[in-house]
Amino acid sequence: MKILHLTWEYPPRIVGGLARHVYYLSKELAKLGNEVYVITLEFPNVFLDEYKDNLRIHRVKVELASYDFLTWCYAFNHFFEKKIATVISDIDVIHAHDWLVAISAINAKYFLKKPLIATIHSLEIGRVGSLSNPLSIVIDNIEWWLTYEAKFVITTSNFMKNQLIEHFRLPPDKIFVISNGIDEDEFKLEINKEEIKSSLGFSKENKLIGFVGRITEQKGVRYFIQAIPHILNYHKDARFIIIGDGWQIDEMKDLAKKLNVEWATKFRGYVRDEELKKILKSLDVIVIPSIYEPFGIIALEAMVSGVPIVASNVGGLAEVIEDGIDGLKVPPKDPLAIARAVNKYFEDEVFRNKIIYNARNKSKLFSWSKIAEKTLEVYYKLKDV
Amino acid sequence: MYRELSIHEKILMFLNSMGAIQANKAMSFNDLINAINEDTRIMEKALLELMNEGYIKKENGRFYITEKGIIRLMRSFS
Repeated sequence: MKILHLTWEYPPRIVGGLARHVYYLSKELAKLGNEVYVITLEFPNVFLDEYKDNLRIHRVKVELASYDFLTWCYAFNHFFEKKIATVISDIDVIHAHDWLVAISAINAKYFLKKPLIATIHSLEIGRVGSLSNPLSIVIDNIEWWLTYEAKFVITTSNFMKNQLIEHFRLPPDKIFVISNGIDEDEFKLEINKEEIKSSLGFSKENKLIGFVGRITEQKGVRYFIQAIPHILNYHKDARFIIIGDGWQIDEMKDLAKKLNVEWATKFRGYVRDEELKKILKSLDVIVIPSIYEPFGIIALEAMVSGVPIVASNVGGLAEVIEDGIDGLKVPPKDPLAIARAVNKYFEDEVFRNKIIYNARNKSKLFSWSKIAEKTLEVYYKLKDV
Repeated sequence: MYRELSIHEKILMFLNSMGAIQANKAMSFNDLINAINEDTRIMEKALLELMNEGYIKKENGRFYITEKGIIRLMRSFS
């Protein structure tokens, strides 16, 4: 099968889970013998075109200045279309990832006269909470338009499927749930936990509790920070690390200061993948306090790294984690519940080890090869329609 | 949850939208002032902070967004 993926992010342009999703999916689909094209955006110091066996990556230069984000999106979609017209002569399916590529994907559907599939990784209404500004309303409209034009819609959790049905009134049989995945081998690194803790400025005796993600309201990092005093009350040797970047970072630093926990808390900012894997493995507990989470790939990364999870009982996280079996779930926006769950891991070593063991086994269900096979099944359904 | 973009985000957004992602496409201080319409001292402070954080670089007196800056900016929209 000849498959065209359209995505605004692809490694090393890693904005969120989407880049990893398309990277592994395209790689696995190519391994299965399909001819896979990925059209994505340029990134500084990276080759524009890459070929590996059946996989062809084309990074597009945006050769037109724009004044704002939306105009820039329209501009880069125009250059995507130019690239499609230049490199794609024959294709069986067009697969678009999220609203950012909707314009070029829908145009490609009509000029190539081929079916369009869209994966919706998240929705604007979930990311911003409410559609209260003009940009969000436009994005929401484009999201709807993409799902309307697509023959099938793929999403990563039942939570997202329900949101698509409720918000866009999509027929349920048009939507397929295929989860995100994890490449276990990439996390098989030998690390010296003590050395990493010390390189981060902590001592080996410190219990290290971390947050990994964008510093935005959606990720709920404020509830993690609010939990810190309650954890320190019981575990004076606990220390906290916040890894990630985002527009709320200054506000969160101020919050840590206000709660008088900045001495125990490090903001590490954005770190590259290789370093992130090492830091992740050195954590004693990870907290995922999201208030909206379509899937939560970080949960799988923690599971495979042997780090016990405390996660909000929302979205995809609620589906991936079984409370008390392979993680601990807490109500969203509840710092006390977060603190209690973290403390439980430190007070019951047997429980902690059981969770780590079960979580490692659970993560095996999420291999990218299985996800590629399921995606291929959706492509083949196009022939039945 | 509507929020105004901060001056830092406005700078990153402008550099990205204008294609200033490499030294040969960098923008001048005046380009930024004209586009963002901000007080000179506030702009200087914001540019310095962005440079210190590694989100932008300055070469020959002109500014462009780095890989780290692009990712920081894009995270507001995905």
